[in-house]
Amino acid sequence: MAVGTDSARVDAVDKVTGLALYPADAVPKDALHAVVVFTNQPHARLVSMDLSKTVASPGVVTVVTAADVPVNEYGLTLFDQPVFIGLDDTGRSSVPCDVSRWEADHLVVVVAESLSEARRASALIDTEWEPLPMASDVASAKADEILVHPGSSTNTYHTLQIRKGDAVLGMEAADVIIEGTYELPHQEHAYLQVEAATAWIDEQDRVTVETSGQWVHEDREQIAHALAVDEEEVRVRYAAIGGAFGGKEDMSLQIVMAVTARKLGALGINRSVHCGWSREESIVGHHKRHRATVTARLGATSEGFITAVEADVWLDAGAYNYTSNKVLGNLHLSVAGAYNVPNARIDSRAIYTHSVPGGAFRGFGGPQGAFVAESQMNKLASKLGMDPMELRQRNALTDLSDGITQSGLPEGVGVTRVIDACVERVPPSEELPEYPPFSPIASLPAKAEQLRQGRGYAVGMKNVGFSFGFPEACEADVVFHGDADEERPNRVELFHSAAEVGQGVHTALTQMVAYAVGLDFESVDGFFSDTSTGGDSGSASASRLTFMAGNSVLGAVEEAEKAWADGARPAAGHFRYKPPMTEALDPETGEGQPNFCYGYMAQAVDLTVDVGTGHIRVDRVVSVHDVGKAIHPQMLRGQIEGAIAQAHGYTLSEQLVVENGRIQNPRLSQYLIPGIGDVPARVDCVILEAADPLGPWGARGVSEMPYITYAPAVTAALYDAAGIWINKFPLTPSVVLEHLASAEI
Amino acid sequence: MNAEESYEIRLKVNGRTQHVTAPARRLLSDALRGELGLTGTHVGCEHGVCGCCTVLVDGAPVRSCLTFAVAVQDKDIRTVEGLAAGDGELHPVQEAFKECHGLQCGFCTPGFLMTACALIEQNNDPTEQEITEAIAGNLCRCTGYQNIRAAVRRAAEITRSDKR
Amino acid sequence: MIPASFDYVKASSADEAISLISEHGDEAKLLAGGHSLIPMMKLRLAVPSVLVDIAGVRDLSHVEDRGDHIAIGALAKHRSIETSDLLIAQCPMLAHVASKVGDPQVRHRGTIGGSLAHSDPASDLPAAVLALGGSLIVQGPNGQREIAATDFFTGYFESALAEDEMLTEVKVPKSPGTNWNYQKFNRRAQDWAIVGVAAAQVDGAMQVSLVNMGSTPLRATAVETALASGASAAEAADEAANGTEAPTDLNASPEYRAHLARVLTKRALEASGVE
Repeated sequence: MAVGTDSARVDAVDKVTGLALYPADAVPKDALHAVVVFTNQPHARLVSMDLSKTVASPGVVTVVTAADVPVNEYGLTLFDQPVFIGLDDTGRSSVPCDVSRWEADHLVVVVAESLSEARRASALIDTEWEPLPMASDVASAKADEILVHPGSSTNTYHTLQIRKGDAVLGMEAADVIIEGTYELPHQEHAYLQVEAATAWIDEQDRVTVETSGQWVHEDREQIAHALAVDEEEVRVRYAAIGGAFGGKEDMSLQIVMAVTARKLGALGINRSVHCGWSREESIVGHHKRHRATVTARLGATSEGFITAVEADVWLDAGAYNYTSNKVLGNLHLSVAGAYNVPNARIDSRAIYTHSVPGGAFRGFGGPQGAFVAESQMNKLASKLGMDPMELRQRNALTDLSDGITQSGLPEGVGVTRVIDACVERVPPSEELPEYPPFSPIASLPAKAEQLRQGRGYAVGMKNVGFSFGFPEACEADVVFHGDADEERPNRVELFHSAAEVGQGVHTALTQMVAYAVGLDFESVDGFFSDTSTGGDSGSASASRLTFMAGNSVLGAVEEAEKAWADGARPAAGHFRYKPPMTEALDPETGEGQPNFCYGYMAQAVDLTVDVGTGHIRVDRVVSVHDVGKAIHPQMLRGQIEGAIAQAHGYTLSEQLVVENGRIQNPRLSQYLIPGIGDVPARVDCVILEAADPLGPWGARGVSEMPYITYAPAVTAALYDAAGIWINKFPLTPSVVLEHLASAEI
Repeated sequence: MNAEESYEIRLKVNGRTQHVTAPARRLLSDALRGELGLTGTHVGCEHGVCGCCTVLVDGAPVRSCLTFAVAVQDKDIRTVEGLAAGDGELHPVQEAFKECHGLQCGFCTPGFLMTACALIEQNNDPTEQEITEAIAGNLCRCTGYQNIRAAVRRAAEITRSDKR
Repeated sequence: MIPASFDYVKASSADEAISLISEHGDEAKLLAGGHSLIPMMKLRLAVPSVLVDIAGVRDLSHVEDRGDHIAIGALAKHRSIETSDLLIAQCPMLAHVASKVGDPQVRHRGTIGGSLAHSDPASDLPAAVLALGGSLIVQGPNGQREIAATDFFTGYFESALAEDEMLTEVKVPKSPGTNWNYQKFNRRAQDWAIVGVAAAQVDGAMQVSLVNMGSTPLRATAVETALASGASAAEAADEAANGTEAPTDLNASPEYRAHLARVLTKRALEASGVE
């Protein structure tokens, strides 16, 4: 099966027959059931906790608390979060554990014979809390009067800056200056499969956790840290993963279930323990896409050449860091867009608040940054009366540009390519086509006089792979099978840890191995996502797996070919792919090479707005991507269409309401993810294949890219339709209507 | 607290009658997954929004998370496990979702398959509008629905050609 | 989300159901499709100790021509109303509104009686029956009585049904033709209405009702009065929010709802042939 052609997914049959087992499906018959009790306190000190009634409740086997965690701290990039809030721990943690800073901080795990017994017993926990003052948003936290982490003197715990040229002189040289303050909202991942895990002590005495996540080795490292054991004493493997989108990159049940299994083992109870969150627990209990406020200025000459960019970014990190410091870096780089900016001053801060933590979510800061950059460019085009894509073409980054970090860009910059292809497909001068009646489902037969049509564009770029000097590598193992006298292997085993979150990576890797070895698809057996069989792949994130895992399996095949040629049967090949090193940015100027590869994209959005109600329907999206090489075109289109649907919800309907650190709408009836009647009526994918010099067969990555440009393209189309700029979203009908009223449309 | 009364519930699932002892509040979704081990029926939102738990009751798509098991005794219940033929040959909707990549993470897929199955069995030549309306009660967070729509169209096509 | 425990009994006739609910008083609830009741039970907003399952009661799923009106059994499902040839010909508005309730899974399970008895101000069918000027037949231990739809909805999730009564039939006047319309505005297709407006010409007069504009489904009296005194569609629609107390929730403010009521009323009236 050649790369560049479509094969059936390797997991398709299991998924259409119901045989695929997700983490809540494969629960052993004799498993114990656990409930994770949240503190339900956005900021309070635990004064006392009495578990005697809980322990005495029928069916209860044990309770697990802070005292059971050897090192009561965790965090993907900073250890700033206790595993459990409690009155006492082992004293080996850097975080004080008696204060709850988030309503979903964990308090106790109650283990019982049945779920209903565990639930009943958890309601009997008797606690006394001393309420503490709240700094629940950036506005209240940045004054530092109330500290979220009192060990530090400020809530503004991570800052980045860019100083390029002279932004003051650049603004003075501008004929036009565009200014705006942008409010970027939270977003909930809303993967349909909520968190669940089963844990046990395996026959080799390892603490084993079966769950769904995005990086088995990272899960294992975090568990081992909290348990203070060697990583080899911990095993993590993934069941089928029902969506992730960044929301399963951080810990949910992994550590607490490992601690629970170990405690049961110590009590001599040789049984598995299972826990599954409810939808409400999932929405309350995991991080969100960050909300942020960005103030930006863009200076340009009357010919449309950018003279300077200034920006101030305030990122609401919530109560714990998660990956906020890294998300901030990405947002920081992307507020300047995909353009030549001779002079820049950008100051970005991540700020702790007593609110839900922000963390990874498809795009990783890119959607927030691009909303600012592209809104500014669209406003500039409008102010100058210029074609918005011509304006972008004049300023587009190329292979010769030094970039916002003054380091040059990885070879093969595709900004002008995607702009050209987008304009060719959707010329800005073209009349808008007539689209079918207003909506296929909602009964809104508005008269034409109340409908306005518009078109908007946005352009962007997104890194592939980890940034800023974070160690980046991916391992693969293959084993060739065949008889000694055969020239070629007849079967290949692939061992890999890449997480199949739905994107199709197991299919793509199988296809790559089959093609590289010259076998058919069915002759490759994949064994995936188990720390006991596969090497460290890194996470399913940053649009990195096609590039990184692809290169890793190519290297492993090459190694196995050598062993095969030397006569080894079976012939094993192991490879660890490392891309060019990236760099942390200079703290004063922001100079450095943050990334080794980018994907490039441009979008055109046509929409219709009902000015009577404020309702927006997106009629068509044309999404242009330079992907280097389409390994599996059908799955590639699936990534684009899926990303756009999620970005559509982010832009138009999804509104997470958080008040005083508490989520107000933790249900799918209240938090509105789009259905088939809501998503764009039509999505046209335009795929360009300018090979990346380092990518496998030239492939880059795509899964985040279509997301990033969508919101600013929609707001530009709304401006085109109705003459209003809206600097925040979601563009709910009432928000749109308020702006229409103030513009007197 | 008084012991909760248990009911002997006869469930006819995928052509086979089975007995479940459970309280009246046992949801059909939980009875299928827990008591009968049919974990292909997924639970996504628990209160009637996402459609992941859709099964067929007397041929009609129904949310099993909003149905008490005791209330559908002796009805003809079909789940995703009952779609393929005994010899493993895939049902046209299964074949089509596989062929058209109408799935990514696969968690919503059984619900879509059951809803699509109900449509196709009543109408093997649906219009685009009929397809959209038929699957409008199922949420997917991965695909953007384009391939799902294509898969339902394809399933109808396979069904029509099978009948010829 | 699991409901509190309850006892389950199945009734095979309306009489049996009524005697069971009489016996258990306010602790008992009737279960038909369950699509309104079960979500509330899961959230423990409803905690009945006895559920009387009436889904198996025969002879209450009819849609019948009764001369000047059509009688619909309380257990008729939304799906059968939506697809009823009789209704499509003689009361097309009701068939249309039934097709706008939720999604196929809901319409295959939900019943018209359940929807009306639940008295949810955000429901579609109560507003349709109100605009049509229909009436409801309820049966209790002492026999039947007929309640005009305008008198049926008495408060937030409250109706004129006594504890020991069961809604058995809904009567709507024949109202063929095209002088009717239903406008439903929601933020997500398939969801509950943020605001809805039903308009129907019955016996020459235009009757208008509102969804989710107060604690009950309600008639837009001010609009009807304006129309009766010769107002245009636009003029009458301006009155749509008068006298209403629109709710506030995460989806919309009362002001936005009032605005929608005016816009949607104008559209509904114009689509119903009012100029």
